[in-house]
Amino acid sequence: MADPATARRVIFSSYVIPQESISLEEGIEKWKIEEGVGKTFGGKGTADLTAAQWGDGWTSMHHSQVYWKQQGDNWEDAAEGWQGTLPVSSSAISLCSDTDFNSVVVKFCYIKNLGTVADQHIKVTLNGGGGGDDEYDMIVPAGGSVAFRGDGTTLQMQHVKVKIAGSTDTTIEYIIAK
Amino acid sequence: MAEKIIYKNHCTPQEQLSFSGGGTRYYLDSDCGRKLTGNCESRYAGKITGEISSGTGTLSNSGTATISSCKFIFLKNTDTSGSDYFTIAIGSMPSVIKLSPGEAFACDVGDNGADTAVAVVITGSGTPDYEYLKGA
Repeated sequence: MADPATARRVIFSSYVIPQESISLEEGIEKWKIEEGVGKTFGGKGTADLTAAQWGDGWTSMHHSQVYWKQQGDNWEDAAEGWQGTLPVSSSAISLCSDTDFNSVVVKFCYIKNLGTVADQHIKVTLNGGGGGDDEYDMIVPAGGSVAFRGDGTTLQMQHVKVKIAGSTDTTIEYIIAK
Repeated sequence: MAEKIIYKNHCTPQEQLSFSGGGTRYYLDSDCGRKLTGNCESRYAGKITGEISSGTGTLSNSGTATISSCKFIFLKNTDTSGSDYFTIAIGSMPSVIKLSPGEAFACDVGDNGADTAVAVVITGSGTPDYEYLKGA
């Protein structure tokens, strides 16, 4: 039988397709690769994480056997295995739920917006603990996601915050790892 | 004719287990239980021919390059040295996103979440090559 995790990592990738429309004689519109750039774009990497994470909240997911033995005082709580979401509204929410780890360096973060309509896009700041209330310059559209590694020194848990950029509340899945 | 950008960010969290008989192996992380993928169309508001553009360059050590007027940004470290990286600063945010060789970053951007373009500044460590795609 295997022992507890001795290491963790995340393999992450991005894929981008720039497109332009063309109108056919029959009045049908089709999309093709944008001629100016002429190709798709992509990249892939691996972020090495700490084996023992800062807490159960490092991911929004629930382990399938977390119900009674890992919920603390709320042992009667139940959740569907491998699901778990965080509601996002107009109030800033820190992805790291334990302030004891505010100053811990972020090695990797992934945020997926589970919204389904256009005005459920969210905005993300990486300066949330530094008085950057107007620095939410990353946007995650409904259905989209963002993945990034921290620089290893400056980006800390307290700096990563989200709030809605549209008019409708939404939910997210996330990973924020040291 | 119109333009759009569709993109996907994907991740696979893994944990390494060691076995009493020796040896290790990576599995899908049991805290997450699955891979995560987001797939969407960029919100960049242009959608007019000519507002998508791309480019390449090489940064000097501690040197910077500015990609102006972005509503969507894709950046990739195309260096092959194995260690030269750069960090990314989006709009008013600090330069805290790191891209090592082969890695890429794709995201909609805007001033405080609005449909207002911002500049993206990258700062080199070593002399990394980079590639970008932007929607303006």
